[in-house]
Amino acid sequence: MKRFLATLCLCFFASTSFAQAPYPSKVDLRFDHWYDYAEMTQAMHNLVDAYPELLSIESIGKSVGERDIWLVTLNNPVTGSDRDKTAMFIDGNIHGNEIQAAETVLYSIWYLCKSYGVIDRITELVDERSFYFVPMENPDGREVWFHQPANPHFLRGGIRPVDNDHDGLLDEDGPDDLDGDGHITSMWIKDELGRYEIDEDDPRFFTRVDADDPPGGWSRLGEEGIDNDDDGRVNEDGIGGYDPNRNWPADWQPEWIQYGATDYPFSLPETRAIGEFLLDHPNVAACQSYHNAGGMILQGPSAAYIKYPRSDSRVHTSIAQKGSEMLPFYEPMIGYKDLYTVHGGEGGFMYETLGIVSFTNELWTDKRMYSKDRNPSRDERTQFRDLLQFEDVFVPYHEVDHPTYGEIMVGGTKKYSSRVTPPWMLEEGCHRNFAFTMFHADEMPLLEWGALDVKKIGNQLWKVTVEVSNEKIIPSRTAMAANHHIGSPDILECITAGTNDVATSGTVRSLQKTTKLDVIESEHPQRILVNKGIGSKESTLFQFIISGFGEVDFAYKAEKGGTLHRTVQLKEQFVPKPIEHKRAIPTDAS
Amino acid sequence: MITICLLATALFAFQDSEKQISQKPKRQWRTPIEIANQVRSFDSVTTTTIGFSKNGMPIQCIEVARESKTPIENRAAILVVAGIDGHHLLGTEVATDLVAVLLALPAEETAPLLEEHKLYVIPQVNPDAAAFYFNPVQHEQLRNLTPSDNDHDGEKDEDGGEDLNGDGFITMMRVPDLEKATHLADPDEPRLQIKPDPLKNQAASFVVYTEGIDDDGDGKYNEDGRGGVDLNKNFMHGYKEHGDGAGHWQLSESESKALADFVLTHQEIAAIVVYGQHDTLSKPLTENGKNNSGAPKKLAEDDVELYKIISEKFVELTELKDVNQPNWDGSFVAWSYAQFGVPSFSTPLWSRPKVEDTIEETKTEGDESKDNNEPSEVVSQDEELTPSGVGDISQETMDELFEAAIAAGYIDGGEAKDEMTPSLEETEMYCKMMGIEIKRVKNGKDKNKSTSEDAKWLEYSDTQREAKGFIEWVPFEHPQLGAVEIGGWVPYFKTLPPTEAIVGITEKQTTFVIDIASRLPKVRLSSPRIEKLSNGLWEVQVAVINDGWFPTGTAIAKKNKRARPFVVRLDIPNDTIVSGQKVNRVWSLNGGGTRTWFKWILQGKPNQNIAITLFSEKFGSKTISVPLKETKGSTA
Repeated sequence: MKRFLATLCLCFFASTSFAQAPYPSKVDLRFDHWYDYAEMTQAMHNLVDAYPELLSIESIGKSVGERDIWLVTLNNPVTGSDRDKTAMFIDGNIHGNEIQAAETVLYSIWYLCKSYGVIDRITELVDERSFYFVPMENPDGREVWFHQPANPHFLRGGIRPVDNDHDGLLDEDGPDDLDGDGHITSMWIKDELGRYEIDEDDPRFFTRVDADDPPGGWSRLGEEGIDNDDDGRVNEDGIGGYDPNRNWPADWQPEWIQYGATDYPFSLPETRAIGEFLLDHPNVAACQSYHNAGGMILQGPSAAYIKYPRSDSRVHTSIAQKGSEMLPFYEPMIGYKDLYTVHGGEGGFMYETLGIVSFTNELWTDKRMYSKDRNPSRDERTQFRDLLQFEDVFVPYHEVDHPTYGEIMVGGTKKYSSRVTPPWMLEEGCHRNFAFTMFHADEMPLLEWGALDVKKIGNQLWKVTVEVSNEKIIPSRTAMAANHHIGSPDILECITAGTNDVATSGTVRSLQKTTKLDVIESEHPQRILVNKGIGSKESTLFQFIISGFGEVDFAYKAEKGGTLHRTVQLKEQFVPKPIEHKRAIPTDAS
Repeated sequence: MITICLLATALFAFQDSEKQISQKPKRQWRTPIEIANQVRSFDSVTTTTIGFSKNGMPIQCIEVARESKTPIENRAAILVVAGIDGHHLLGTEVATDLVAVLLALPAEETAPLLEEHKLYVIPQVNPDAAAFYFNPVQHEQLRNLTPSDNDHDGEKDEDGGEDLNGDGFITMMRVPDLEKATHLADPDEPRLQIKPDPLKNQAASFVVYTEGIDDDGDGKYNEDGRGGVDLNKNFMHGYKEHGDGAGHWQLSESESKALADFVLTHQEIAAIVVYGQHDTLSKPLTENGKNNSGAPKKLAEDDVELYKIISEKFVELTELKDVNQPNWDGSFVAWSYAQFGVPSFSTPLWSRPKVEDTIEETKTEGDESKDNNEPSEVVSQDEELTPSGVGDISQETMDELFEAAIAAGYIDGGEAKDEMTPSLEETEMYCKMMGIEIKRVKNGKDKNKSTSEDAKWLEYSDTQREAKGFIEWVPFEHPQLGAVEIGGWVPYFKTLPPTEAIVGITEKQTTFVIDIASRLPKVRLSSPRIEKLSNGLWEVQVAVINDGWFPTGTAIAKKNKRARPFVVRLDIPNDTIVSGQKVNRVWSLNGGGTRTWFKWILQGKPNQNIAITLFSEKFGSKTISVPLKETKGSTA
């Protein structure tokens, strides 16, 4: 029945869209555009309205600024509920200024919906899996970047007030947009003793004069702003003052060890909402978080003293390796070694706390400017901005009358001058990263029954061997989950009828006659706890010695690998592992 | 002290007479509902609900203060917290009675606490677990009631204990299963069990389980009972990820989160006293290395002396000493010290009275089959001593001696000491010379009597508690296991004293809390010194002075910048200041009149008023205003 419905679905889509690539969407979204919070919210709702058979949307919580944190679930209910399938969690923009993370997530929803029923590979993926998307984990930070004066690095955190300068006042002296252009640029002042001069080649730059040269006549005053609280310091206590990506429980450390950690993990409503959602969805086996910038595919550990089980590291590394092939100029990196130490990050939470295989991609790298595998020089970057961005990323220096300093020069790079992918390059970046997450999603555990062997070994005594296999890279339980008993172990149950009974059970290495049963000592031989799950591209042979006659049912339940059922007649038989099309829609085995 | 005693006695005489009417001659432990009602019935206090337990019981906070010339909202506070550990009913009783006693005391005796400062009391953080005491069938429930899969079988709370023999307690079972046997009856004290020593030809004869049946038929007995999370493992400092009873993450529990949120939103809290399983008072805590990330595991070095003095005072006032100190990682008190950054103390309030002066302190194998809710990792002081090979002198003493000798220049550091093999006599002499206390490794081999902790508890039960602490082993026909014996410790026997003790304990703790209050920092600004430097140019100096005993910030708070500074703000336009900062911060200032000076050179007209504000999140805000004219001499 399920198969019939799924086929029907497929036909429906196929007939309405017998178009050729590029396939149209019911919702026209552009990916040469940055969506502010309201636009992004609208786009998500439009998609949900257009594809109600696949999408649903919910608010999983409110930000500090009372904005909804939207989560879209993508699932085909015809093939099962989202919770019954192995799921991937895809998020972005926990740092407010790292905006194209949200577009990348939005692109993923958009592309999957328009391709479902059209591109076979996508149809299969969607039918096998479910997906949770949170494009904007930090809505307040995004809103500030779009609609308040900002720069490429601001606002990274959220808007909960913090007394950054310890004077008893909260957020009383942030940057000020003196010229009202929406960008926080730099202030320069003429200064007889100043060590900077206007660059001879490019008057948009100041260059430091050599130590033995006379003063250059200019000094930098810092970011655009005034001394709002008249304490003699400028811009020393602006909006917020913490980092939501240091607010997760794994290896969380207090503020003096990890800047931005806040008082305790999940003290922020944004991180807490996501943490609680994930605790409530143990079916999530993979996670992708998007950040900017640098062209990285980051995996843990994020601190040198944290050790990961080797088998899990291999899983991460092999997926990241494929990612680096799919994403030109992106490099797989290990957090603490290749970037910097982070305590209490989201990636660590996903893997260390919940046992989820997780990556953090740093979107955009300047290497993409000229598609060369090296960082462009200053002159090359300038040329890129001048010739390809038509000088639009630079605010020319201009005079401003400052209340304290008097006549000064204000100017410099705009908030989208770096970190953010240039709009006309955005779509490709979205697609490549999306495709990488689909590779990752496809490598989530997908359990199948393998061979079945029933042998009569005595009067009404049967040796029943069932194989459970996982062709994917990610095991049904990561070693991290197994070692620390995260969530439930996998459970293989043999449900006997009144006419039969399990005497003992365990695993076997092969079906050879010389191979003996490795008994798992238990008072419950009919219920085997498989704490290590089914490994990476592995299969396990489970054997039950059953007395009686009739039939027995087997159920293999894995939190992160779904549930399998199989009914077995107690009669001599051997059924080889079914060889189906690898991508077939799972059906009820019989 | 006498007044306290009299008042307390009067107070409880009254209560007792009430109880007598309902034919309960002796004071009874109060249920969470009775405690909640008691809290609501206090006059002249403010009661708030700071959160709710899993079962929806309110977690209450009582604010106690008397009117004085310092507005209540401007005062620093002491926080007393009890009942984080569900079985610690004693703490809840004492914390609640503390409020009653304080309210009944003459004002002058409580002035340091209730007039200069204020008191917050949170008597019961974990009411759901405390309620287990009052169940028809008792077992000790330390953890909260969040369902958990203790045996990792994919099911939660599916196999707890049962009271098979109907005596109202869940105790233990001895099962004569020779295949699985792990213990035998202690030949010296057959009520207790020991692990066999093959060298003594001992063989195990039974296995010990918690009393009950195997509800889920997995061959294990009572391996996954109710709950939960040990709230004192659920806080941030030293939190053990995936630890047994630690919860999904830090503050994953409504109870612990309510407590932390209360503290964090009450920055005026300047010292914390916890009544519960942990002890930081009966003997001095030490500095004890660092965590991976660089935070001290226990005390920051410079806080050791402060804790030592408070500990000595505590022992003097309460006569409670040498209590076991369970590992404090993840506890509320560890967090409030290491991360909230205020002086924080914890005491179990009661320990087994000494009955065994003749018994050497040697720990032998005790009851191994403790259930999940028992406090873990109890470290006995004596257990830590290591033999050195020099007579019975411990390695610890030898190390101390070598360190002292190196420090004094008698021997070189490094490998020199490895070559030295002093005799016992020499060592004793050197120790005496250097003033080092000799700690000897005790040798229990020739004892013919069982001297374990359990043996001492048993002796205490026999001699002082009418043998009511232990239930004799009695044969029982178990539905699954056949012939077994049921017996063992009565729940709560090792945790709770007889209720008669509550009054005396409360009285001593009252004195201690008042003592802590009298030590809080007292910070003020001196009168400014003003000197005219030139026409319209003035030098202004002011000192910030701490007349209290505690420093304004512990050493750890200085390190972690968690104790917010005192802010000294000169309220004049910044462009009239020639030298000095308009806003200054004092991160920590020792007590005993320690002062730190601030100096400004500023421009102003003669007799123009300038205002200087001293602001602290904990101690309120004060502004002084003075005219610009020369002052004479020291005015501080």
